[in-house]
Amino acid sequence: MTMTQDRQALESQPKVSDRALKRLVMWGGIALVILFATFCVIYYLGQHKNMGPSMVDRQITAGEAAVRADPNNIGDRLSLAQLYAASNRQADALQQYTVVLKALPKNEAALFGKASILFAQNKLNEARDAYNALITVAATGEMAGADPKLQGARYFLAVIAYKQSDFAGAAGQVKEALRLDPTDSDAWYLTAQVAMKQNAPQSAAAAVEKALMFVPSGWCDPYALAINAYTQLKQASQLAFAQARESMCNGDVAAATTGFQSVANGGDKTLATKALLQLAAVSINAGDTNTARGWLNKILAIDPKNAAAKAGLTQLGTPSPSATK
Amino acid sequence: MSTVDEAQKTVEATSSSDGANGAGEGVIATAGTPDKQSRWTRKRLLIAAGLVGALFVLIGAVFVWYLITHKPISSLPGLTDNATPHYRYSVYGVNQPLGVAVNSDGSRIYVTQSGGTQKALVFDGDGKQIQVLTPPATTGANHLPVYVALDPNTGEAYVSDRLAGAIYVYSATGKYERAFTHVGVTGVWAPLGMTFDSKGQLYVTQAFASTKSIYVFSTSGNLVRTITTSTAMSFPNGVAVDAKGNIVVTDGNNGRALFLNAAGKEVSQVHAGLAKGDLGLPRGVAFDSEGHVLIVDATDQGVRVYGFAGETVNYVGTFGDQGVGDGLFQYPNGIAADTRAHVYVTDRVNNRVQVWSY
Repeated sequence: MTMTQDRQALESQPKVSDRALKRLVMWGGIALVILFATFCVIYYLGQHKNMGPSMVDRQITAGEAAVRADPNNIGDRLSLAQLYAASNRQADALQQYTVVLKALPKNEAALFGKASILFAQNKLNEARDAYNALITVAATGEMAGADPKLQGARYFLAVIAYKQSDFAGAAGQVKEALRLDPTDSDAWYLTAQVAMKQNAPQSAAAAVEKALMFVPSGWCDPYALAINAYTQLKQASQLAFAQARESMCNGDVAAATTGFQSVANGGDKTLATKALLQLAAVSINAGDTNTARGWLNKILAIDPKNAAAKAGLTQLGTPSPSATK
Repeated sequence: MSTVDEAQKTVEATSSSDGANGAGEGVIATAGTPDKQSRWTRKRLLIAAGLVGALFVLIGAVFVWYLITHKPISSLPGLTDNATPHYRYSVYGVNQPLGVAVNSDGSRIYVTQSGGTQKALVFDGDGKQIQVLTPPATTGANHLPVYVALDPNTGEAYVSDRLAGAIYVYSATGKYERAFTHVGVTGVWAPLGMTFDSKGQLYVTQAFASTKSIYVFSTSGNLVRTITTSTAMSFPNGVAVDAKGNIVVTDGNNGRALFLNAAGKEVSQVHAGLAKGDLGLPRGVAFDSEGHVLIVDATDQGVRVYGFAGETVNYVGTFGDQGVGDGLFQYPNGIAADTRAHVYVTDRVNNRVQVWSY
């Protein structure tokens, strides 16, 4: 072997032995674990704050103290039951409502609270009995025409009937709920659901449009129902508009814009106006106020008295044509 | 010692190993041509060593960063660029709080309360009330402390008082010192929003339905600068200044926020409206330690987060919603930030100060 070969052989050999390397890995690993553990301890001590119970828990503690101090105070027990219910302690809430109802069997708040807990626990038959008990008590009361608990009881009875496939019963209860509060969007949506089950897509479409009138954004389920209804009714332009609104609700602005533009260019002037208003809203959300003004002015070209377009233009800083006169 | 000598020593050391190191170890040295298994063993050891070294450096770097900043890991550089804070905890024991200020490490939280006895309270970092700030009887009977600002140089607390039309100054230990005496402002003096810049200059807005002025005072109370806005502001409740001197002022009753560069020139506005990032009733404003502008929207029950470095404004997001649970607000009003990525928001109707962090 030549001297050059010797040197190459030696240089190719590792300068640190495997044993030393293994030791290095082992001690390095131990140091790493110690470093990490130390960091975790210091981080926890630095970041963790024990500020005691949350506000709701504090209120519950105060409520429990009040009930202990005066167990016969119905108001305190009701408040405590509502706090339990708000913090999802259903068993505790039910216990308090039951105590109240033993003392005052016709207490509307306790009946409604008890029924709501039973409904949340999916004990539908027991919940139905409790809601019916509330209706018996409240139906002849002074505020029966506008009693929100009575309205709520009717609505939930409709939901229970719907869940139990009693669609005729559901239709009757939800109709009563809407008589007491015609602005209840949930009740309108339920009406639409019931109508679809009863093969009445025309009624469903009308009801779902009412629901969407009160909650026009952020609630996508009604749009899906509207699509089903308009599909069954074979109303193409309404279907396209519903699909665009569903896309909008789901955050697909590009698809929604395409859909609205298609409807805006269609023959139905009422729908075109609505689509143009949606396009204006899309532009405003994108910060493109000039384009928004363009859409709103198109609405005024179709319907010069359109209040929404006028209000929109005023808000955007451009007086509507009629306002400048 | 030559390289050859060092290598020979390594060879000898390896050869004299007790054999407990696994098959093939000594072969490297003695044979000079390592077999496949020993090469694989060495490769694994080198990978393990590299991995341990890399983790050591990574964790060590995070550790050092934490010891310097004391910020949560979620605010590591780069992670907060498009993030909004999340709820941490609340400080209780205050009645309808309005304004809030905090020192740099979050160990002293100053809160003004408008319910019950109207006064300013000081809490420690653990939420325990440690002091009460009240002006002496000689200043009159009617007081409504609104906002607090802390002098970064002295630690003194400046409390604006709507009913008294004054700013009261308390020492860093909470002792009443004086009413702030301003020199150079003509007309009615009705201080409202306040903040200090990094030089220790005090910025004050006026509680008027039509005002165009933001006053800047030296620590001695001399008016050193008047920043004039292009259009009149109506009850500008908040003003904030970043380290470069960029200014944001919330024009409460006009539902907008004005963004000014260090020269005092208006470079952008955020208006009232329904689009993302628009405002309803803006009140408190602060720059946080991550460089974001935070604006409390009292009627939207949340805090808007924007990016602003003296030129354009970009909307980052909103945190908070209406309610009574953790992280929910009922008419929030004031806001402050420490240097540890924590944000303090007065939750007026819920009677607490919420603490959020990245």
